Amino acid sequence: MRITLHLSGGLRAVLAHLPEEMTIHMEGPASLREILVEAGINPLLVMLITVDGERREKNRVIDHDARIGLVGPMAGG
Amino acid sequence: MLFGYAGHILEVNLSTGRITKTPLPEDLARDYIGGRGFVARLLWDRIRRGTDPFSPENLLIVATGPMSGHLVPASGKTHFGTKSPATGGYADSNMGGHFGPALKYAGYDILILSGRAPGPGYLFIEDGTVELRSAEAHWGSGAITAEEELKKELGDDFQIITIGPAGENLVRFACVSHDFGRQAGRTGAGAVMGSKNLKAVAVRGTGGLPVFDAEGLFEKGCEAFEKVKAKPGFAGWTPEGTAGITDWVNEVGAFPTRNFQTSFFPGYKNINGRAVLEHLKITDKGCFCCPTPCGKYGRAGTGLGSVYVEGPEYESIALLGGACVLESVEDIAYANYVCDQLGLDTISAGAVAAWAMECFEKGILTEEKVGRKIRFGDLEGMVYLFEKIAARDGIGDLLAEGVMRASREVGRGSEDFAIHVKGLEWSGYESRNAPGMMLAYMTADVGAHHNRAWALGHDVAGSAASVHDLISSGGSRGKLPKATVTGKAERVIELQHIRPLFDCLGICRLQYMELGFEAENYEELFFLVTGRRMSWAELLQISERVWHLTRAFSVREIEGFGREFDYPPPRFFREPVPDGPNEGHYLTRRELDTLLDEYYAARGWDQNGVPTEETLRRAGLADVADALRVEK
Repeated sequence: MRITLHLSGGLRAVLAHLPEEMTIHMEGPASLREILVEAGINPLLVMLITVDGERREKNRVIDHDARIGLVGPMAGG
Repeated sequence: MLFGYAGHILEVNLSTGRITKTPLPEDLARDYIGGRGFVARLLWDRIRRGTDPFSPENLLIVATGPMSGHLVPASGKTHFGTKSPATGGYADSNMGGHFGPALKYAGYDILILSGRAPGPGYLFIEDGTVELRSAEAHWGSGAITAEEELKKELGDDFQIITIGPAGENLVRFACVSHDFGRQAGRTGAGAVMGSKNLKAVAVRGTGGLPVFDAEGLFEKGCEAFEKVKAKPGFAGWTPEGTAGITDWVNEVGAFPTRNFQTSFFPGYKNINGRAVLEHLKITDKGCFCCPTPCGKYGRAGTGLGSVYVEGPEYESIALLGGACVLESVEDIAYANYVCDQLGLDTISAGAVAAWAMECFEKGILTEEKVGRKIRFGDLEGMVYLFEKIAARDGIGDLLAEGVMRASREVGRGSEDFAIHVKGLEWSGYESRNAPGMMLAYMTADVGAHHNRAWALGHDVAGSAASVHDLISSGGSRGKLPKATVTGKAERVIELQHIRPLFDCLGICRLQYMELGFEAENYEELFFLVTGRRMSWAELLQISERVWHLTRAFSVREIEGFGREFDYPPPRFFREPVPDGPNEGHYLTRRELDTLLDEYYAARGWDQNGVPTEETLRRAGLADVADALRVEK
């Protein structure tokens, strides 16, 4: 699978070494949690995930190429 | 000419009715930028030492920034400052909406209110026309109702701030309300407004603002909106707004639950961002010029009634929901609405109610004293408390003082679980295993508020077990290791300069902090608006100056102010978290001292947390250094 990850500013604030966009290749299927680990991102630091624009839980299994948006921790109002 | 600014200060002495308009001093704009910077400098200069927060001599300052009202993303911010009725020290609070831009279009960067009106009044501002008018007909109305009434009277194009009964009755955590659900919530600005017999300020402005490079700003401003919308996270975050973080805060064990007894709320899925979308939301609601509307306007039906309400956003969910154990998002929204109408800060109101419920649970407050049973999870009991507080009736008179004063009055160990710093109730992040966040709360200039430095993400990044361990344990629910205490100061200080800088500029920080809209965009937009070429680092130096100044203000105003005022309540250094991801963790008093020692050293403050003369001079505050030396 070709997985493109887009990291939000809030996530990059705590993972400053990672770029705003990165692509990884994995054997599928894999849960989003496993994909994050493969990318070197601690799942605990990811607040919200979208897959091709739709919000998904970390246990969601992905079995195809996907664009994944990762929103990091952020404060309330 | 001062590009970007309206160019004038409007001062109204409500006692005498004297209205003055003076040019905005260029050195004030140069050295303090705007908003929070203006507030801090003017409070230092103009409030006499020892002024009672509720006396006519206290000031309520409403200040905009140079970016407010311009074609810049999220430029609707307005800053309020005063001497705090909650802490006795420096106070400010930031509000979204449309008021600040309207004030600037009317010709004023800053509104300074002093004195006390002879009777209930409201201030009418329409460009050059400024009048104090009677508010007899509106006194006693809810904050939202009063805004509706005034809009009907004056027209929809007036932007209006109001207070509710809580402000009228000097509740120390009364807020200023605007735009049917936006507030300058924290530090009791609404109570100061009430002490001045001022129910509302209505403003309509039709003027323009001078811009250094209007053509360039139009081009880059439009580009900025597109860039923000293209940011990773925009599409995922915007639908739920701040309520969307509820899950994460629970997963990392930082959700204030049952008056901060613990940090994990088992039913959090019922009160999270998705619940807001599914059960409440009708539409998004944004502030002036905002590309990322985080407000969620909706309808909540409960056993007590049905209301239209903006929210709840995360902080209200945390304090009205978690801390008071309301288990449905509809109940939280209803409690939110009651607070909004009464003019109570939802954070402090939730913390006060939670403290009272724990007192009741422990037999410290009795049914006879309270007037009814009050238990965690009981919406009706909460509404009862809020109405009593706003009216200062019965038990409400005690609770209207906030948890610090109320617990001192009640005693019997209740001080240990009165969750505040400096007298301001704690907002939505339980921090017994988040030392950076704990330090941020301890050292925030207004008291226990998160928006000066939100370090929780960094704490989690620094403490989490290896990612493979998290996978094997199912990930988010596993117990977290104890976080490292040392080395937190630099990061907290960096954040304390970044976030408040946005309050100086007059724009929302969200696009930078959460979506990663880059600093160079702000440098460019600031230049196009003001004509001043300043690097991000130079802007942050001004934010640092303001930080030292607000600390100096509290040193001057609060007898004996120093390290002792920076500690959290004993619950956080004596009671381990009983369950959840951070079970067993807490910070010892010695660890808290380590945090403070490192912080004071990095700040250039002495061991008691007072800025040294050298530090103040280096920050461009020689006159403040001289004044503090004289005070000593």
